[in-house]
Amino acid sequence: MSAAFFIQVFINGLMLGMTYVLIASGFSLIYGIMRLLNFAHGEFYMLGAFATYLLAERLGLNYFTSLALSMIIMAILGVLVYRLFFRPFRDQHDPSLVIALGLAMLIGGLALLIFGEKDCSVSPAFPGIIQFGGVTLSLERIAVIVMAIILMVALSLYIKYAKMGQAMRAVAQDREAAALQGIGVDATFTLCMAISSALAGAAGALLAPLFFVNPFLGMHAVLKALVVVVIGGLGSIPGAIAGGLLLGFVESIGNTFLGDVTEILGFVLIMLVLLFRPQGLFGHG
Amino acid sequence: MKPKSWKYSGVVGGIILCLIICLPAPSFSAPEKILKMGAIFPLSGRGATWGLAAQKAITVKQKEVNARGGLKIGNEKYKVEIIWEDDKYNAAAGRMAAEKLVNRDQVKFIHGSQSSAVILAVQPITEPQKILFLVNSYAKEVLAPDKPYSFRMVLTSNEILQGMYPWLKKTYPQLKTVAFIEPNDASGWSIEKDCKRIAEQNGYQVVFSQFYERGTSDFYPLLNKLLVHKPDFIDFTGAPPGDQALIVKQVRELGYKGKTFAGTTIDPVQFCKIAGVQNAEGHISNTHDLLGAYTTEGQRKYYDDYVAIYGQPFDPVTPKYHVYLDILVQAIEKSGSLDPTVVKDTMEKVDTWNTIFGPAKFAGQAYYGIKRQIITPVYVSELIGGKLVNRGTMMPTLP
Repeated sequence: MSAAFFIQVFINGLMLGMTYVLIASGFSLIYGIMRLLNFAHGEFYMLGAFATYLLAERLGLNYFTSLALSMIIMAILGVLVYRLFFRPFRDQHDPSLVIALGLAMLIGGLALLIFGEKDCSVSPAFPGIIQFGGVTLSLERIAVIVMAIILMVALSLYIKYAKMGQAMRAVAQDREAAALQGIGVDATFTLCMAISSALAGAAGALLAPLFFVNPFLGMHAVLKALVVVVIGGLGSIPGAIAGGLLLGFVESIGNTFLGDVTEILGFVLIMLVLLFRPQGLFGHG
Repeated sequence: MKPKSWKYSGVVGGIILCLIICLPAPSFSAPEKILKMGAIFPLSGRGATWGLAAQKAITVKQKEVNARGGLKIGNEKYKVEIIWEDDKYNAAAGRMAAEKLVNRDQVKFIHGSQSSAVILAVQPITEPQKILFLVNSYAKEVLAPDKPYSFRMVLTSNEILQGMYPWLKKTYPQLKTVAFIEPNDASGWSIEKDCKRIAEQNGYQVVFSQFYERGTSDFYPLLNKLLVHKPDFIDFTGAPPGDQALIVKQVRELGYKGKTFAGTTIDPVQFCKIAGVQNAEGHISNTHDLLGAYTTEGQRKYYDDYVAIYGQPFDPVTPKYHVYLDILVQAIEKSGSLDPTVVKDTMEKVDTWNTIFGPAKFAGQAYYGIKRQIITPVYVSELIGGKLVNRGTMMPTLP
């Protein structure tokens, strides 16, 4: 096996990892701020992919316009879902969990009814491949990696420096103290839901041209997101990035050297992390 | 009092007269007879592409039978009613559906899933209760001498590849080595075993074989490893159509120039949309263009019936499922009975069945230990310029 082979393994891991980061970041954000395991997050990813498919393929809009519109549509949908389903059960952990699971099934079922069972595809915005030193990468994949980095940097900057981002951090640290300081907890939750849903929409839109779109994408995506955020630390965005990349590299290396057992490596990682650092790599105790 | 009672009598009489006029006249014809059947397929989840295709094909036949007054047993006609259950491509859901169909709906005939796990979970219910179970899944152990009420209505990888591999060897003699990618479950394991055995029987050297988890969409890591072995062609017969298209797209991106092959049916439009027309060029599959060469009259009629019900675009994955109800209706009419044991005996005895593919038969005594495997023609086609081109048809040989 040549050096090019190992570089390809590394690049495959990076690409796979960025895919997981895209899906898991919104999932982690919701848990960090709202303490809610939103199992419907995978369905927002699926809907984001379908929104892009409808806008780009059916209405013939430009891919980037479709991407932006998908994020906006998912943000609006996220706010509606929060207001209608999650807000009435705010601070009630078990009912919220059941609502999230039920919502995931409802959205998945409705999508199957509306869009049908067939796989759809979105035409690539960046067709073609580049090769260097025996390593191959499609331009689509490079675009996903770059876009994912831009989105993660923008999210981190927003949470760190923007007023509303700081409010989100305050609510995450101590909800009551934040409320006493005049921060609207409900408004913060609404914004958090909008941002995480927009991130899921972005993930769907970015990955749709790379893979395919069907109503069954959600469940697999949310399972991967769960693995990623448990490894990285529930509620931590840097944790989601680290967890996603780690899982991507482990799966890429596992696929190359271990073969069929790769899928269980994520769960082995979870066990190891829980044994030695139960709060996850970047989580707080 | 007298005039008042007359008045009341008049009102009551008027109401009765109105009711007589308004209510529909009672029917003196015999009530319509209904034959209830069950159907357990993946109507949601990852197997829904196949489950919904089966539902469409069986419904086409059901409508055809009911349009001619129903299936005929002696002098009586029975309309066919099908109770559809969703197994979600999951054994537990399939078993629950079977319990409901057998115990609550009291059906005696069940059309069954593409999932081997579902079929194997349902058979312990259907076999002891002598329910005729028509199945699809590819696992070899689905058919066995101790499962006389189970008939497989669709060709498996074993039969399909016994037709396609000799064709491949003859048509592309330069191909010598093969790599396999199959899903990591009961169906995938069974298919991989068939693929390896038949490839080796045909003189191909197996240089790589690996399973992947269903739901995987990034095949780069797996393909990167596969390409090191430089196979002349890659066979992914057990992968769902969407996964097949993704594998073709990604392996071409990684620079693979060899042939891609799958012994399953694909939707060429959908396949090329996902894989890209250039990447899909020359892809070999077990799909048949019903408007092209080697098409029977029955297939053309099926095409018309399908389009009349569901409209365009026609789904080429559906025709193989038409055989389910087609043969069952013929078997019930030939046996003149609704007793599953009598129908089973008829299915055993009759040599040739008329299907939309032409004459078909049940075989498999030597391979499965029981004659329960349908044998229909195997079709081979290639994707050329994004279009399906029929390349040949052959009958698989199965003792």
